[in-house]
Amino acid sequence: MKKSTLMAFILLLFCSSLYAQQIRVSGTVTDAASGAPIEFASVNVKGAAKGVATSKNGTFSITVNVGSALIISSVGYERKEVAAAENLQVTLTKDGTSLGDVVVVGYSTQKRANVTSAVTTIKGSELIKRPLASTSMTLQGLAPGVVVQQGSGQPGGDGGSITIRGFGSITGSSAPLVIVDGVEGVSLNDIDPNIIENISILKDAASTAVYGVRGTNGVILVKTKRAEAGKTSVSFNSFMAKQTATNLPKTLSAVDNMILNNEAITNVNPQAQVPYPQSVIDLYRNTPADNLNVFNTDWVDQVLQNNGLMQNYNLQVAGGNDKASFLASGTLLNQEGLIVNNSFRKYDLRMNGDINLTKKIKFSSDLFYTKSINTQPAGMAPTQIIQRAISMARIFPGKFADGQYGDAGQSNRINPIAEAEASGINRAETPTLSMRFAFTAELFKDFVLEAAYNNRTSYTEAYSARGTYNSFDPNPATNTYLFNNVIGDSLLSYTNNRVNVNQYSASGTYSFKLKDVHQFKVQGGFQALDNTFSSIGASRQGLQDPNRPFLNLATSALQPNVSGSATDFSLAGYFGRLNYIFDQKYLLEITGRYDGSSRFSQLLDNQWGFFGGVSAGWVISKEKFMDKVKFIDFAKLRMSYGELGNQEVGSDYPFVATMNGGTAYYFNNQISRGSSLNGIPNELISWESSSQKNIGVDLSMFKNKLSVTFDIYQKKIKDMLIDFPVATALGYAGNSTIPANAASMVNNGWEFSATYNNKIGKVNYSITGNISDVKNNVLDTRNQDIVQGIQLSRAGFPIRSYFVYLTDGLYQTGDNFSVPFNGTRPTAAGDVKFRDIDGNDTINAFDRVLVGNNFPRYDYSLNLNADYKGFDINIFLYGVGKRDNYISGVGVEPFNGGNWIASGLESALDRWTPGNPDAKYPRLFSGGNGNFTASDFFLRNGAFMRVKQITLGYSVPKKTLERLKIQQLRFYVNTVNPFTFSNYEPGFDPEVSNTNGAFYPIMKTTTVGVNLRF
Amino acid sequence: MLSSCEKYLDRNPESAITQRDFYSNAQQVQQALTGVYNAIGARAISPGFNNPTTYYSKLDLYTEIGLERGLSGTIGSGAYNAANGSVAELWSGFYQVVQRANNLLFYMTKAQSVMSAADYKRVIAEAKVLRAMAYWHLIVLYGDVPFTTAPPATPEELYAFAKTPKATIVDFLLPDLEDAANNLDWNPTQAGRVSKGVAKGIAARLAMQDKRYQYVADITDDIINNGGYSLNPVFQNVFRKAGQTANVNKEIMFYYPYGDADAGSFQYLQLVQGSRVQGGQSSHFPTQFLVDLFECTDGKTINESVLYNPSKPNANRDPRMRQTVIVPGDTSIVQGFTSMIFNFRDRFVTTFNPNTQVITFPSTIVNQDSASIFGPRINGLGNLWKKYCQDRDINGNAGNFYKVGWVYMRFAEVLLLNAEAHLEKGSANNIVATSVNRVRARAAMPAVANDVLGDINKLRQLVRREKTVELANEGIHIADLRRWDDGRYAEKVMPLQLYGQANSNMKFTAGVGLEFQVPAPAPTFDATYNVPISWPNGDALRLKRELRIFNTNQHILCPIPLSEITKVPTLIQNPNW
Repeated sequence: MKKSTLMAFILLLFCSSLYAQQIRVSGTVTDAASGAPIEFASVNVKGAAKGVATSKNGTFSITVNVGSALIISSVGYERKEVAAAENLQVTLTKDGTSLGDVVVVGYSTQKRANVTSAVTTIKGSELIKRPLASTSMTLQGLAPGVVVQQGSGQPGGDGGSITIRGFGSITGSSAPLVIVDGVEGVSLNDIDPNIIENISILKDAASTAVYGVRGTNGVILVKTKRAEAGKTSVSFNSFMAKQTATNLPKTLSAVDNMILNNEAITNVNPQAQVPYPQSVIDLYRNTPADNLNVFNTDWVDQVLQNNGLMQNYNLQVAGGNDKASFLASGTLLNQEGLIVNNSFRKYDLRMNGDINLTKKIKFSSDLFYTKSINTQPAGMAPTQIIQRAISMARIFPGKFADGQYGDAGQSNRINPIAEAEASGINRAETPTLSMRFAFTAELFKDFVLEAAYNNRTSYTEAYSARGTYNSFDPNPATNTYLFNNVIGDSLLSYTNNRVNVNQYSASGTYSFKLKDVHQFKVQGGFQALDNTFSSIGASRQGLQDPNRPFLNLATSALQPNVSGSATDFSLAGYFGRLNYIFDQKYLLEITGRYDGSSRFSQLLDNQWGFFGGVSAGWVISKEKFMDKVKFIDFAKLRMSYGELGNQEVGSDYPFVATMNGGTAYYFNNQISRGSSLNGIPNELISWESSSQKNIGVDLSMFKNKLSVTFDIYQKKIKDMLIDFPVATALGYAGNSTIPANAASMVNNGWEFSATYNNKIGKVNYSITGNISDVKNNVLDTRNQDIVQGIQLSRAGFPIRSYFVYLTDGLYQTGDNFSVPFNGTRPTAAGDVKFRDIDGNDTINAFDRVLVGNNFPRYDYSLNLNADYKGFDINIFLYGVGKRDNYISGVGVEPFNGGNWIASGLESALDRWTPGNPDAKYPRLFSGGNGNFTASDFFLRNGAFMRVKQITLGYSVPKKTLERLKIQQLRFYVNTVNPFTFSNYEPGFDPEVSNTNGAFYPIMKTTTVGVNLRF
Repeated sequence: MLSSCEKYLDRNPESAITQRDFYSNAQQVQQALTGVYNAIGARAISPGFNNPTTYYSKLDLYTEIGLERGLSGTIGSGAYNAANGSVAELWSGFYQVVQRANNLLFYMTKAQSVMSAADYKRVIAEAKVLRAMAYWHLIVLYGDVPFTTAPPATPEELYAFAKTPKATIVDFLLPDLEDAANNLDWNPTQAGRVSKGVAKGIAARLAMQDKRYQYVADITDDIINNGGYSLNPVFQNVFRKAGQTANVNKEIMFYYPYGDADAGSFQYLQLVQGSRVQGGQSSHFPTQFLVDLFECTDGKTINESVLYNPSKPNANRDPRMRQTVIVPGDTSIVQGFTSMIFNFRDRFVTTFNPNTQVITFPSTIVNQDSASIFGPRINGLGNLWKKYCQDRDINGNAGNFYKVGWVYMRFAEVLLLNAEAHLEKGSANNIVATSVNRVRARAAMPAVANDVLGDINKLRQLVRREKTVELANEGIHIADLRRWDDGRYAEKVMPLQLYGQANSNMKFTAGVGLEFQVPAPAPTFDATYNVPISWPNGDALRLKRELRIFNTNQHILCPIPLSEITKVPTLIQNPNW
């Protein structure tokens, strides 16, 4: 018996070595940080070719031999080895790459590793590293292919214009669709960066096809923060910044102004009497300015006298349990301009609430309120005030000691200092309230229904209350100032605008798996949106006091005026999406939308269209043959194609002709209302359409230290609306064009992004570099030139190329000046030498060519982060590799101010004279002789590299904070735009395009800030 | 669900009325008709100004009797091309009238059931008259022109159309106008509307342009006999605000009645014709040809009359001369001081007190008429238009606020059309003279003399002269200029070296008037037409402007605007342009 027992035991052992004892392992895989279940994590038996994937809830079960080791892995997480046990709770830690992140895509989410289209995600924490007033600017340089251009530093107007993968339209809009938590139409700048969890930028057609007629220009999806169950937190973020202009041109001194002005006169006629005799020049040379006989008004200094302070305060409170959670955030931004009476103030309040009604049904309610208040002088826009300030002669009186304004000597006597200080106030206040209610219900296992309703109303109350000021002339004889004139008028204009938007959506998603390796996700949904806009306005002269901007106090009989208007549009669409994943290796996504827009003809049934996209991915690193390539941790090849529409055609009703009720006539000497047709209707108008191909790779290498993404794409846009001139014999004298879907163009581009993370000792650092390029080529405009100022779009050239004369420098003494310029021109040495392109011995409009382009090429950035103990540093560089910029008006041309007497900039000293043949600028010539006609002489290299941000932070050690129950306390100092490298026109900012001197400088700021979290 | 969705997407302009919804009731139809009038009336020549001057006032400046301030590029100078702005503006302006009338006539059927039959027909009639008037201008200016009577039916029609022969257009429009006349009253209910008489008058103009003399004679006889029109005893009152109101349906058949209560309703004729001293920026001038065409009070032309004295050229002349043209020595009231005597030459203004008869020269006021490029010396010929500038200051304001209505048609024109038609169709000379004498009598000019009555050539000279001087500066003469003798008349009077008044020191004496110190001799008159064609020793003695270019085979018509030819390749340019 003993023997047999022993035998049996031996046999059993023997058998078990042949047929080892097995156990069934059940478990859950969760994220170590958040506790969230990890779907599709691989559970493999070490040393055996056996494995399963986790379910949606992170659960798995597998039968293994007792004593086996399991290797748990999931893309984006560090792999983990655990001993097999019946009930396993495995937590995985993020590996530092973003591959495991959940990415928000259109109406859905995906794991980064499974994304097959071109999507860039940005974390909110990246944005708040940049203490800027405009959220759009915080995106600059963070996403390759997403060009953010800042044109102004004006408070409330310093946001960037965002273009994704080049221009999407010639005459229509190229602006991407912005969606905040499912709500469309909210301006990105209205969303405080503090509340942003993350941003997804959908760049290719496959990712945006689900947005149909609004997807052409790319989509920016913003997800705001929500409270996490069981965590209560209070955080406070604040910064205070001092803003100064990055760059301002220097103006001519009083003496130089007189000398150069005389030279401009004598260049026209050597015998002419000069305006400033030598005695006056000598007086100015030898006498300090006394503001009575001798002036030296520094207009720029006197106009830019505001403090330029910016303050931002954000308070967030979040908390809740598994039944309900709630996050509230409030922000105040106050931004003062460089000019007095010029400021921007914004209040944000957001409340995101979630209630789990049952385990399966969740209710969410998002309330968002924002109010912006924009203030500027009423008499003149700040950009014009600055234009005057940089171009006015210092020899005119600005402001006298007792606060009286000088008669600035111009034909219309406008004094920019007074315009800023005393011309009244323009004020626009816009409160916006957005409410979103959503239900999510898991009707049965893995089938989720979601329905949402949103209403957004925005109400702008704006007024322009103009006031007058007095100008004075100095009277040196009596040492007093004499009243000269009353300048300005007292017009009060009032406007109220209301925007009301309703949005409805419903969708269902079903996820299922076949044989463990075939994962499917099917989604179908419906969305509708209607938008109505209405406005009323009234204006009246004779406002008694600009500080009391009420119509009852404007009492003049002149110019009483009332107006009003309303427009609307609506959109509706059915969308669907199919995701298929085979073995985490082969990925396929098909999306489509049957979309309708009210902007096209009902009669011709032009409203509806189908748009779709398909994308596929191959996770090469999952292939066996890649096991040998040790340095590659993850590699994915992506391809996509999609077709889209663009309904942003510039009008809500382009298909219909309307009546103009303003064609009155008089009968019996009394007015009688008349009506006539405004234009020729074109019922055929349809959306512009585009198609886009994209190939991309995502790589993660060297133990996930280096990750690289590269995309190359081609975007073809056709059916773009352009206006075709029709004969005036059709009877529409002032409106003789008909728009038609006729133009096409192509954008070819590529995008590259690389991030390297590592540590040296206790120093953690990361470097991210982005670079992208897009090249536009207009393919067809049916021989129509589309002219926009000096820019023109023509087949064979990039959109909006400069259309200018070519020049060969300046004529020199002894040159042959015989080629006439547009008829007549008193040509002499020092004048711009235009090139006679068509060789007909005269320079005229036919000699203009397309040259150069304003759209940034080789948009690049470098982002460095490092931390050591409590210290952190961030350096952010941004640049544009190639760009042409045109400079005109008072920016380059002295003594030509249109309706004011202009001086010149210091750069004008480098004008051509016989003694300065290598001058940068043509000879001076009073009244102009064609030198400043738009030509390549004034095209400037707009390439630049700019240190955009430097931040240095210090976090107080946790140990110190624990006693105070504080989780985080960080102080930082930051500077924005501290250094710029460029060969651009001195005094002007290369980021601002095509300036004629009317601009608002981009700001250089110095900031201190604090982040506090309990 | 789809169908409810489609309704959700059916959006139409909210604060604008669409073409589809319009024209559906009496009020809207009336508004659309007012829109047609607006296109007729608001045709602006307003460089730099917000308020219009009717550009009918410019048409005579393209003829031998007027000129523009601009030296070259003007239609009158002949030195212009198909890219000329006025050519394009006139073309598109008159086609705007056509378009609005066509749209109204085409779409108004929707409202037929909700309008009284009489109103409905009257709207059609008025629209047809206005459309025909626009076509008359187009034919006069451009000859054969694209002709449509309905909005384009297909997209192809927008880009491909051709010219219709003038005769075909007239063939269509004459019955159209007769039909309109049947539905209009001789006296419209409101001043400013077209009437039965205007319908027939436009028909007469159109028929005249195609030389259908019998037709013109018949229809103008009808207007004269049955219309109840009469000439206003005081010629100038037709062009004065107060006079116009009294004249409606008497002499004035159709005019633009500016809004009394509407501060923005006025024209700039005072500005573009007025003296620089009076604040005008005169850019419209009469020619010396016109001044010299006015007869002397004996009914003879200045080359024939013994009453003409080159030293005192204004004396003993047809009174209409100084009611049509301001010549040197004329007295006018000026803002700020009592009055001035018009003098293009001296450095200071000569003022005149009509009460004391005291003349002050030199005054302290700089004479801008002499010094300014906007004045009548540097770019004019020493004369200014008086017609439409009779009222200096209707509101007690600056002269720009001017509410004298533009007269589109008046009874004197019908009488003269009648005379010319009877003459050309071969009626008895006394029939011809009857109408002419009515016009001359009102002007206090002697009746047609017997020697003229007995000579068909002299009678034709007189009828044509009468038409030219009576209707000068009313935008009508260009039709005659281009029609008379198929261009042979124009060939004589257009390519002239422009001379003006004697460039001489002037002497003013109360009660006597002007005397030129260095008079210029009277011009030489053409034998065929008996009109002035050369001004002896003009270079030395007279103000001088350009030598006008006129190639009959080219300039007898304006070119079709260049941009139109570019847009519509099927449109053939007029000969030699």
